Amino acid sequence: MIPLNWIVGLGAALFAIGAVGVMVRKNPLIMFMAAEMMWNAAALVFVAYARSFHAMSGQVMAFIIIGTAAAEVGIGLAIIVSVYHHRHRLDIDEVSQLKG
Amino acid sequence: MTYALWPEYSVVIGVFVTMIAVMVFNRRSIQAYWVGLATIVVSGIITIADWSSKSLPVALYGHAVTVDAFSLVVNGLVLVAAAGALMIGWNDKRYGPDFPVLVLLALLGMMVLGLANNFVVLFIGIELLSLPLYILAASRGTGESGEAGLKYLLLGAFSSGILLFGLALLYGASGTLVFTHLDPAHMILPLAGAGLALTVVGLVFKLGIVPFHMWIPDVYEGSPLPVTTYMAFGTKVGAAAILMRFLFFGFSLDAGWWGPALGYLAVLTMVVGNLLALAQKDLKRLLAYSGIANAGYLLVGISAHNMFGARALLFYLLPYGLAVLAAFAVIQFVAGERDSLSLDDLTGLAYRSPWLAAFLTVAMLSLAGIPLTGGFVGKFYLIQAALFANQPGLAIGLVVGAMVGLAAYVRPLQRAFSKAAGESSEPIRWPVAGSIVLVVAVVATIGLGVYPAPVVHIVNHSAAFYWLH
Amino acid sequence: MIGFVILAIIALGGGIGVIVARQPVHSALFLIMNILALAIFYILLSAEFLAAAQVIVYAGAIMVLFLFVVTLLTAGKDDREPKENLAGQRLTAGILAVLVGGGLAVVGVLYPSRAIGLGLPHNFGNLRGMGVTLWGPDFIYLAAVALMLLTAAVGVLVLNRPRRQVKPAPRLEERES
Repeated sequence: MIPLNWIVGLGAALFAIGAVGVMVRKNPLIMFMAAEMMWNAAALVFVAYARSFHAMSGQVMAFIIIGTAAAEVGIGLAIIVSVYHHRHRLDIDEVSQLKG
Repeated sequence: MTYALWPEYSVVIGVFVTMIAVMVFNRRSIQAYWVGLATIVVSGIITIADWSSKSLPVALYGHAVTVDAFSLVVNGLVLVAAAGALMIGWNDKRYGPDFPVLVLLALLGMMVLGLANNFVVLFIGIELLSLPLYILAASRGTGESGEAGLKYLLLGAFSSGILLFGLALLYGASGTLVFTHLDPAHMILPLAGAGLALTVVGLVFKLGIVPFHMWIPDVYEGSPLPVTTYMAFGTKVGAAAILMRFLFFGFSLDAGWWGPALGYLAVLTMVVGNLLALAQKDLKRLLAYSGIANAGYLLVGISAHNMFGARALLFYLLPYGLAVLAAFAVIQFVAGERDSLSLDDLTGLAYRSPWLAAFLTVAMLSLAGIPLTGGFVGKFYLIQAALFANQPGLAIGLVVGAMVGLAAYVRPLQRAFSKAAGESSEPIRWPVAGSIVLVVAVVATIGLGVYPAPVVHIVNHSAAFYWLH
Repeated sequence: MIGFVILAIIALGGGIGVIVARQPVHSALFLIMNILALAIFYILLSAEFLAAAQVIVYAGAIMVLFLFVVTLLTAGKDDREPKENLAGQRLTAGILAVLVGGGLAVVGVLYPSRAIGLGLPHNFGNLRGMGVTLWGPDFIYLAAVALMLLTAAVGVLVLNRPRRQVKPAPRLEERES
């Protein structure tokens, strides 16, 4: 029997790693992957709790997360490619004029 | 037989018909705009028909969605937003033939947010709303537009991640996905507290409240003008509606958990947003900071947590949105082929086009909350709600914020009414569709300020939603 | 329990690899490792269908797309990140995120949810169980995901349609001359 609360802890750790990645890295591709990891961590926690309640609802939510992630990645990569075509350089701070 | 969900279904059908119209009439894509507008009108008619039907409120799909007076008012507001954005960008070649399709898809997301009663529907609504807007923000194809889309995408994915993890913890604490089945008294407290905090942070990110607002000005500035209009009006309606529904349905008995925190955020947002608006030189950025400040006003209605708060929030969304529509329509006319407008470009507007200057004045004064405009009545109701909730701090913060805001909104007017230094430039073109939006928005703004009773009646009826479920 | 520890180490290692890797290609490969570890967790949690979906959709489709774009955009380029002026701010945000995540992990471990002691229901999490749910009472969720994928298809068309060179509008030029 696997310890469900430890899986939730693992999910929280992955969530934190993803959040750190989004905040610290500047390459949009890596930031985007880190955000995907946050979504994955949430899906893992949903599945763990679904197992604990013996209810399918959490698994349905995880399935919706996976499907939405697919759509989001399609759009996100299209945007990244089109930005790259304009700038020939990928760097979130360099491309944007942060004016406060 | 109930037609409860037909406003949403008709939009789905409209999406497909519009796509077919784009495919059939490839280059001359005006037909797609007409189909999109017809869809919005049909959906609006069904919403009005639902309003007078006796079968509401009704819970459908195993309590996943609830159609009630609240969701119908949200429907009405986002339909106005979509119609306004569509007509401001009417048949503009710069935005491509797929503009109406994406506007309708985002409209669907906003409508879904109004009737969500379940974590899955909440998440689906947020994403249905966000995905088309990422595309629209980047659709212009210029450098700034792409950056706006990229920034919006990364921040959106990040905040959705926070939201999802919060929902997961809430699911673990309560064992249910349905808002109305959440029972804070029987939850595992630390889990529920952490989950609620993360969920609220995720939603507040979408609404643009101050510690989480840094993406808004860049995204608003870089996006094409009609898209910025749509974001400033529609997404604020959607995010405020889902935040209110989630907190009032799920945690209404434990307002002590979230009320004070949201109150502090509201005061901070109102003051900081208006202060930063003072320093802006670009009109779109100024309106972006104004949008942040107005999100703070909306949060007052939520953190007041009573029926007056709900009523004031629903009422305030309308004059705010109308003022946004009018202001962006003026910017669109004056900017012409360009995509942004600095304050200096406004110089001498009153001599080039007195009517535009007058309309801009009405919009700005309504945003600032001067009497005889809708913005004043909305702020009045918000202050009333804060006082009835025994939270004078909120009311004081709102008044201080509005005072600072007045200074920010007067600056563009000062430019518009000062004499232009050099030569007078060419006359300003008035596109027909945009002019309709502008005139309707301005007349409605003044109308709301002079005679708000009909709208107040509607929102009163609607704000009773959370006693009835 | 030993299996859990090994899998957790693989998942965490993959996660840390994503955010410390220099090259986006390495990040993508680490993320695939992380995703496969999660798929095995799904099997252990009796979510067979989701495990399959995770491998097919995430590892099979999403990550291949990622790898494709990464190689398309950054192949053969030195992608070292330049020094920046916002380093302190980013570091603070990172430390804050670590603290919040650590707190969440402690809460998640110390407060388990109410587990049900009975045996699992029939068809829990397998293809039949998910199919009955998703094509039955939860069909609207599936329809909504379909709409999102449609949005993505439209979006790719919009964002990558051929466009003319962006330049000031001709009317403006005429006026200036």
